[in-house]
Amino acid sequence: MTPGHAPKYRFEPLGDLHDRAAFSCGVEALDRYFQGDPIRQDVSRNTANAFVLTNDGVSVAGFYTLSPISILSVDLPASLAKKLPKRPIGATLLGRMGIEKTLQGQGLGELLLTDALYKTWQASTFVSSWAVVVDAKEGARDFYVKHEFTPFATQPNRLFLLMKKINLMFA
Amino acid sequence: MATATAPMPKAARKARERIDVRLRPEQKTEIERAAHIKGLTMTDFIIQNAVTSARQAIREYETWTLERPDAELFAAALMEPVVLGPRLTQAAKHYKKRFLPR
Repeated sequence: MTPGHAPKYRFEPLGDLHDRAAFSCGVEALDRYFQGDPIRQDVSRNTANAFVLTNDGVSVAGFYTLSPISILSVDLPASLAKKLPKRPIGATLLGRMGIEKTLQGQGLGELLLTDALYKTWQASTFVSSWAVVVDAKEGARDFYVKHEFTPFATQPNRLFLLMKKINLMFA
Repeated sequence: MATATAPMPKAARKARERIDVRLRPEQKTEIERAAHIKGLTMTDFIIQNAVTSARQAIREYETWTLERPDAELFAAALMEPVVLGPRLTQAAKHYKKRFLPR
């Protein structure tokens, strides 16, 4: 890497070449998830897709996971029942996100989030997704609020961003 | 420690895995008592409860149930016209320039 030149980052689906063991975002639970078996199991069982940000195809600057999720509304008043179906609707869960701790504070979080939104938006043109949702761990909630996510009323750590809004970013 | 059931005929024998779990003596006593109350072996009691709890955790992870205030908030957002704020507008602009040339 030449000083003064931003590294040429790219996004790749998590693969065997990525050095997961060397990655640390400073949050123990996230590191355990990414360095160890859980993420591999999620990917191999197809319960989540994982993407990494890398500048050399090996070292990991950041990662995130996406998985399908259903949102079920119970006890809707008649006035809203027309807008929101009684059956579960499809959404996309931004399950985990982490940035290498030596690279934090450079806006990589926004880059990861935007890539996640872009991929979700692309996918939503094939399979319906009404929103991207996230279950923010402590400290991460502000990040999502800043990026125009709306917290739910009874569970303020769970936030959503409507697909029709994401559509405005990329359409 | 509860042991596995008596040997089954070969055809019915299914693959089994084992896990070793360490727990505090008082936890074991409590589980033993509960299993006894339910008329189950400790092994069966532990497996049944762990599987039920695992399924619930998975269901809760895969489906978010919105109670009325949350459903109202979500439905209201869906009905409102959407406006993209400055932060996401900028983010999209930077992202496109960097990753989506042309």
